[in-house]
Amino acid sequence: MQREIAPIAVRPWTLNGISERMIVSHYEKNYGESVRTLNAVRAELAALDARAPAHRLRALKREELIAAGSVTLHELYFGNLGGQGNQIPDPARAMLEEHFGSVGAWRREFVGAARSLAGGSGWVLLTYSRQDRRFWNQVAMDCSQAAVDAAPVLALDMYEHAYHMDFGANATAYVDAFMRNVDWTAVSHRIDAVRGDRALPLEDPSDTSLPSLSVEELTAQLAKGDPVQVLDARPRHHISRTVDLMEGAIWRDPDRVDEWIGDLAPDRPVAVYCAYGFHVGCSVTKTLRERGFDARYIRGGVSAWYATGGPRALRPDAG
Amino acid sequence: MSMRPDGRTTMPQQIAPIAVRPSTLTGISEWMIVSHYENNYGNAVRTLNAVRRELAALDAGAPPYRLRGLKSDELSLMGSVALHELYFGNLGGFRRAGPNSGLGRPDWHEVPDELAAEIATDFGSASAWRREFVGMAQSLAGGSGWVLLTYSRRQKRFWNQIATDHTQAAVDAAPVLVLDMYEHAYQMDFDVNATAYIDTFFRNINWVAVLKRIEAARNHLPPPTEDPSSTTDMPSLSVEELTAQIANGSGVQIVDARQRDHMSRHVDLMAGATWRDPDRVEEWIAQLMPDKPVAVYCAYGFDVGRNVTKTLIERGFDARFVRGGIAAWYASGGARALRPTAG
Repeated sequence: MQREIAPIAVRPWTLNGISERMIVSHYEKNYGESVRTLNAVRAELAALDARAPAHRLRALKREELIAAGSVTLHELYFGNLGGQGNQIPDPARAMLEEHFGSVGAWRREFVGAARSLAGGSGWVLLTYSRQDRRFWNQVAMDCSQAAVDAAPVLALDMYEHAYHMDFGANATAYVDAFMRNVDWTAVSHRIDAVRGDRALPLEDPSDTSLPSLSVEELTAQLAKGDPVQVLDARPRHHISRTVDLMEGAIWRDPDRVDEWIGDLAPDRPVAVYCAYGFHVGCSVTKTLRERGFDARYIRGGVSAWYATGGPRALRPDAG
Repeated sequence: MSMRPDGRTTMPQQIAPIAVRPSTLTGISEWMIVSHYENNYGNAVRTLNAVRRELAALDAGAPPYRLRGLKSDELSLMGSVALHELYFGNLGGFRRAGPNSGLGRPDWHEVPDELAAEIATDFGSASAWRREFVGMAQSLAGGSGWVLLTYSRRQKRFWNQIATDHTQAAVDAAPVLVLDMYEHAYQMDFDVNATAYIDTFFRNINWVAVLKRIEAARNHLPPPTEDPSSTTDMPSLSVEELTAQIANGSGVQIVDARQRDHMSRHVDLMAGATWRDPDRVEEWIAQLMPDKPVAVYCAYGFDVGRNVTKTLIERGFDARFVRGGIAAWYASGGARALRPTAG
């Protein structure tokens, strides 16, 4: 089974002291690469001959574990960003006091563990052991390390790709910025889930009230030659900062739908994307549907497309 | 209990009684599995507690690499403790799983229908699953690591996973079948013949325990408890509780009630204990002090100690059996003495 790209769970432009450029690069390049690698490794595993030498199986299995860890941990990382780090809801506060003595004691150990990874790589995780029913802080030196049957509820990426672009070697500043942006509401939902013996929430921010499609579904539609019209509906101030768009798409200003809606073929489906799949693509899709088009928005936007390794083209007027 | 700088106490990791009856395995010796439990598992528990005491006492001004080193060790030891408990717990099945099955284990190449149905979607077929699992185990021969059939609670799917040490695991995933490929798991009996060990392991899988774990994981429940002491309401105490009782001078009388045929193969017993033949209670019961508590242990805490405890309670003694028996005591690092007649 193919692992699908999850839309980025945090609105990348809302972070305080962590740039949109860095977080989007992290998502498209590092997370996307992990998903693609995981799928490639699994395809190799499925095709592996029973008589293949043992070290081939062992190596593929190791790569599978690393890639699977990277995928899940990155999803959790993006999902626990975008809040106000100093606002810890009372139940989460009570949990930290119960399991660590005080919020300060928890934070000291968590931040200390993060700083100890500066200049190296790894993850720091606030983790819930489903067996022991207790929370503790865990260090993973790479994506393959995890505790047995345990659910991370707060994930901090300490690989240098997570901070070097904005912070250089100043990992302490990155850790402080991370703590400032922790979304404790999301963390609290995770805490509730694991304490209530449930799976971690999926944290897909996509609007489920509108028809949508994943980037994998769009890829499949294009591959079998569906006559889908792909619209890039990123706002003008966003598209003018980039030189590229999805191959085969045409850019249309989302603020001027009436000027271009007449150019669309009414009998062909329309796929609309924006930058990350939060608002803009959705509102354009809504308008098109009201005007009778078979329109869907693309979950995760062009960022998810790039993360899957989807082809890109130069924007016509970007010369 | 150890004190943290903030005054909070941390709960030490306790020795779990060995979940499998060590004498019942086919082709895996009692000697090897008990050594594995007492030395390797016991050492992991003891070291985990030592590392956590160091973590609790760590000064905030300590250099970062000290914290990183201790945290890495903690993760590794937690993994070792959890995986060993799961390993012992998935050995020693007495009967085939399922309704149309009688006594006797599936042969080494058989996978019970119930498991086959669970994993068919993710592996195509039970034999495809088995081929990969065994192939992965063989690829670790002469090295070390674990092979795990794991259920991802997040992806809701099964997969086979290799951990090349105790720190490697899938995120939020429950191992449901655990095979220890460290050489300590097989060298004593099998030398370097890892293939023979793997085949023997398959013959001894407790599929009923595996299916219970799968059911729990599918329902997002914690792994089921596999402590064999949890099936009785006979009063008992853990080896940690016994240690505390001895330390606080409660005057507890410790009776070693291992059977004669077991005892005569060993030269040592728990420091402070007296051996008493469990088949001849009447001959020695009068020598016990009626006003002091009695702790009775046998080899692993399954039957013998419980039976003697039952008799003592019926005769008015405040008796408890020691969960996990002498093996748990040794695993916790408890003191041992030479048996008087062992010369």
